[in-house]
Amino acid sequence: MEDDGTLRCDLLSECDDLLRRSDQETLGRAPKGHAHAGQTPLRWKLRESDGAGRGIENALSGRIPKSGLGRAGLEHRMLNSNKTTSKGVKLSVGIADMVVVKGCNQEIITHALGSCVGVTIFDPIAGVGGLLHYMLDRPRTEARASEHPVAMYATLGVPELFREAYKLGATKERMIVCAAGAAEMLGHGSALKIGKRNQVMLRKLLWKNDITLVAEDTGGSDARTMSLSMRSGAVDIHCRNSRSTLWTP
Amino acid sequence: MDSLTERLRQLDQLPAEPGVLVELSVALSQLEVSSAEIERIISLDSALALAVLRRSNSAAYGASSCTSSLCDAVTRLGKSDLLRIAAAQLREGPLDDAGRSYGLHSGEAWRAARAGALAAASIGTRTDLAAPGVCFTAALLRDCGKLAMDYLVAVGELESALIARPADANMIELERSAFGFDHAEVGAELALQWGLSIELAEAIRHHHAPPSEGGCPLVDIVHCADAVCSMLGLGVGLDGLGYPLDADAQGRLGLGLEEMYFYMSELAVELEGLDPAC
Repeated sequence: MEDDGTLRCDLLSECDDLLRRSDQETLGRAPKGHAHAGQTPLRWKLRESDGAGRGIENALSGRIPKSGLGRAGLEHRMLNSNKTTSKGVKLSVGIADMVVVKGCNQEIITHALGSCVGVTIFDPIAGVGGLLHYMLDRPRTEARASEHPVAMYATLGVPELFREAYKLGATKERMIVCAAGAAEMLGHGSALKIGKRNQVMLRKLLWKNDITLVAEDTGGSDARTMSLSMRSGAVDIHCRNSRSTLWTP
Repeated sequence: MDSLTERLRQLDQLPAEPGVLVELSVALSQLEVSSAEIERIISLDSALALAVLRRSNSAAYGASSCTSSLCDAVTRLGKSDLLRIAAAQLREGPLDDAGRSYGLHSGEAWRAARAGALAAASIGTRTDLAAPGVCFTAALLRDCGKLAMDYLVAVGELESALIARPADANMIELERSAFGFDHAEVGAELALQWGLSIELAEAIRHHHAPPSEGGCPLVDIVHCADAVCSMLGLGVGLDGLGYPLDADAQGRLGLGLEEMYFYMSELAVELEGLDPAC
C-alpha cells in the first residue's frame, strides 16, 4: 500500500480511544434514545429529509451535490419490534449500514460483499451482537466524512459499532470479531486495491486497540454474503452457492 | 457472430425492446429538445405515458390542479424525473428477472443496472466527455446480454461453469471458451436487434473490456461505472468480481483513487435515497 504512512498517521491520532467504553457508559447512564435498547435493534441510515437521491438530477443538470446530504449515523432507526421478534425474519444490513442488537435469536445478514467488508461482533455473555457493512477505509476529507453515514468508513464505522455494543452491555474483552469481504477486481486497474485497503484498515484498528480478529474470509474475487446468528454467535459465509462456517463457539 | 445473431433471432422468448427509454434518454441528453418531441416519444408507450401523468399529478409536485395533458406533465416533471420514471418502467420488463444463470435473485440485476446508470451519468457529467443521458442509458442496458444468456445457454450449464471457475478466472474469457460468446457480445447483438444505436451497442459490447486504441469515452465511462457497482457488490453473483478493471480506461477518464472513492460514496448515498432495500 503506497500510502501506508498516511493511514498510520491518521490512525495514531485517534486510535487509542476508538474502541473504549466512554465514561458515560461506564457510569451506566442511558444514552439518549436507548430506552428500549435492551431488546431493540439499532440501525444507522441516512436521514430521509436530507435530499438523498437527487444525485442523478444534479448529474443530469450538470450539478454535483456539494453537501447537505446530512450526516447519517447520528440517528437511530428503531425497527418494528413485532417484526424483529417474529420467527424466521432476518435483519438485513445494507451497504454503509450497521445493526446492533441484544437479546434476540435472529440472524443478522449482509449480502453481496464486494470490495466492502462485513464485520461482526458478538458478546456471548451479554447476548449483544452487531454487523457493520463498510465500503471504504476512511473518508478522504473531513467534509466528506460529515456528509456520509459513519458506517460507510472503517475508521468511523468500526468504533461506532463497538460503542453501540458497549451501550447494550457488551465488553471489549469478550467480543468475538470476524470479518469477510475485501474482494478485488482483476487486471491492472485493481491497483487501486480498495478491498485491500479496507482489510488493512480493519486490522490496524483492531490491532491498535488490542482486539483479536478471530476469523476472516477476505480477498479473492468472490462476492460473499455474511451472517451472524444471534442465537449461537456463529458466523457463516455464503459464497458461490456454498455455505461455510467462519466461526462457531 | 452470424451464428449468434441467428440464434438470438430464433429465440422464441426475448425481452421486449426498451426502445422508448433509449429514445427518450437520447432526446433528453440534447441541449435543445422541445417538450413536444418528448411528448411524442412518451406517447409511444401507453404505460410510460400513464406513469408520467400520475407522477406529475402527485403531491410531490405540489400540483394545484390535475393535468391530463402529457405536454403539461413533461414540463412539470423535468428531465431527470422523466428519465427516472422511464427507467422504473423498464423494471416491470426484462431487466428485473435477468441474471438467473449468474445466481442473481429477482430485482438484483435491475438494481445493478440502475446503480450503473446513475454512476455513469455522474461520471459523464463530471468528466464532460459524453452526454449524461446517453451514459445513463448505455450503463442501464450494459448487462442486457445476461438476460439473453438465460435463454441461450442450457439451464444450469452457465451456473455450473461459474461455480467451478478458478479463483482468478476472467469471466469474459471463461464464457467465450465455454460457449463461444460472452454476455457483453450477446448484449451488443441484442441491442442491435432492438434497433438501438451502434454507439450504445458498442458501449455494451466493450463494457468489460474497453478497446485499447481509439477508445470511446462512452465505453470507458460505462466500464468504470460497472466497476464502481461491482466493488459495491451490486449485481455481483456467481461471477463475483471476476472482470478486469482497465487501467487505461481509468486513465483516459482521469479516475484515480480519489475519484473512485467519490463515485462509490456518492452512489451509495444515492441508492440509499432511492431504495431502502438496496
